[in-house]
Amino acid sequence: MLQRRSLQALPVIVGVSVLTFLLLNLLPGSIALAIAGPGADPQTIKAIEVQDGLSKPLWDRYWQWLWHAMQGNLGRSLTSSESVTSLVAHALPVTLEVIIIAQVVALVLAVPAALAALADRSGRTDRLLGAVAFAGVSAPHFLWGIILILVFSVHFHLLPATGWVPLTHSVGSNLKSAVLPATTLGIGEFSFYMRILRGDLIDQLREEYVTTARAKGLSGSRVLVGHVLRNSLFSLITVVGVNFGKLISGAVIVETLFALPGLGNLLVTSIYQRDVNVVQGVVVLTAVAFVIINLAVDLLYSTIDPRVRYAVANG
Amino acid sequence: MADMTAAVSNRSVWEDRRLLALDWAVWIPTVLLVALVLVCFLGPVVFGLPAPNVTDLLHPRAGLGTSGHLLGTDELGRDLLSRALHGGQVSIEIGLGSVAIGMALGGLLGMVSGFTGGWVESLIMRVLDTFLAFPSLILALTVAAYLGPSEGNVILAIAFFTVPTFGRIARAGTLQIRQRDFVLSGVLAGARSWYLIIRHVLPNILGGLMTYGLLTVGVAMIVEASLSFLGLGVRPPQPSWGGMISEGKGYLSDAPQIAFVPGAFLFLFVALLNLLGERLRSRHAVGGER
Repeated sequence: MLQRRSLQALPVIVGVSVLTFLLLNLLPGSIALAIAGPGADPQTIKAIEVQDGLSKPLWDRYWQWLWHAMQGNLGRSLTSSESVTSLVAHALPVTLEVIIIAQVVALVLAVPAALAALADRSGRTDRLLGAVAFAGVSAPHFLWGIILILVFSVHFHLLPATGWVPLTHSVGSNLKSAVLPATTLGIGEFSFYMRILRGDLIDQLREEYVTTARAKGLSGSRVLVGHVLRNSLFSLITVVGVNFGKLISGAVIVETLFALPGLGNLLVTSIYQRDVNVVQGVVVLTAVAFVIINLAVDLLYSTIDPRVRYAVANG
Repeated sequence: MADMTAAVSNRSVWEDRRLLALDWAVWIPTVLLVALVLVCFLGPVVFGLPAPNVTDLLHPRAGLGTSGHLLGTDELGRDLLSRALHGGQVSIEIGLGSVAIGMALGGLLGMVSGFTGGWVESLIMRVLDTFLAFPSLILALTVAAYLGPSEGNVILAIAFFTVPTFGRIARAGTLQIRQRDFVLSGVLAGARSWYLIIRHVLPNILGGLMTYGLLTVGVAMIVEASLSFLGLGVRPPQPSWGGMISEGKGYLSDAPQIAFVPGAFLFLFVALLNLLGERLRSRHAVGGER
């Protein structure tokens, strides 16, 4: 199972690298010109092309890039001449921290909200929470972000509107600078999780084991928390895992809005500066991470739920 | 899922339409959406609004209800209502255009792979899987940066990432329809694959594709706004909702309307689309989205 599923992921990872490489190397405008800067004379450009191997055929360059990439060398930034790996290593913790806090915030709010909605099914609380969740999925992250900035930074001066304090500097200030971006990112996820969990809880309540548990004399709340919620949380794990990848997209927006030095910000700045090596490195890494996360979630899920393992083995 | 599909197809089309028309959760958002589209495209002329890029430097950052500028002005004194409506035209065109391309291409690839099977199916599905492996905004961002900022290019960039999902839905639908007696008898009678795909498969999976398409229009509009917000959408000064919000984020304390007027339009439009799409999806329960 592990082997088969992992083997399926391999061609996708190769495809991702080919696609990214092609996309960026067919860019109009020469890469050498971007390195030399505007107004460079033809000789300088030619020299850079020879030096960086840009005059070689596309496939040669792809193999060379892939060979280096597999050894952890993604090339150098064309603008700062720092290695792409070190740029990513500096940016990644920021993005990870924001995404993880966002997931925690979303889950911590979504589980009680779903239970509250369930307890008051079709009542006022249920409808209100449903409306909130619906609003949450109907607007882009940056719209919630500017509302949060307006309330918490502009009006109440509680939290900084932009900027980032590294965790190593000061834990308190770091959390303060992470709260608004993470909440912005978490609003959409909260809505998403709450809706899924509520739907799944309702489905679970129709199952026969609920009737059995009640017939055995267990109280309603014990059935709900001990059996129904437990089962529903299993399926939520898949969604939460897959969402890590989706949150990478959201992080691009949030990091730009709050001026955080994360992976998304690095990507957008590099796109502006036509820094092909960095864009290539970041895009490939996020896509590969996305594939690996999905794989890990599948495997984790089949470990938790024997039925899935059985179905896959026979499928 | 299979028996639900059968139940839907057995109900007569006429009965289905009548039920649809009676459902207020379908027609209210539909009427509002049509009204909003009409206002965006005809409003600037009908209300005699100033052109979207005309600056009024005597009245920069005017508030809501200023005479001559109903929803106020931005930092250059440009009329926010006019800009929001023109930006709406761009958003709607991009949302519909990208989904139409994505649905046509994805639907075609999905039907062909589901109907043909074999190595063609494996090849198409593996390529689509590769595209699905990119986080959607990252893919759109890279393609948009690669193509350069213009409305047509943004449509292509967004269509790019909608293709795989439409492909998967179309394939799942095709696999179900292919097993049905009317298709099998067509195959036995010697009908060509193309004929069977267009005559039998397409009409049966179109409902599911369209419903998913409606929800995707909302997603596409959010992605468009995100691209414009990042400065990779349509080229300024052409207004777009995302671009306007980005311009307004620097004036949140003294002129929040610059960001919130386009924000409200975007929210309203996407919310109505989601409301309609979810209602239709729960009614139809067609397709094999996984």
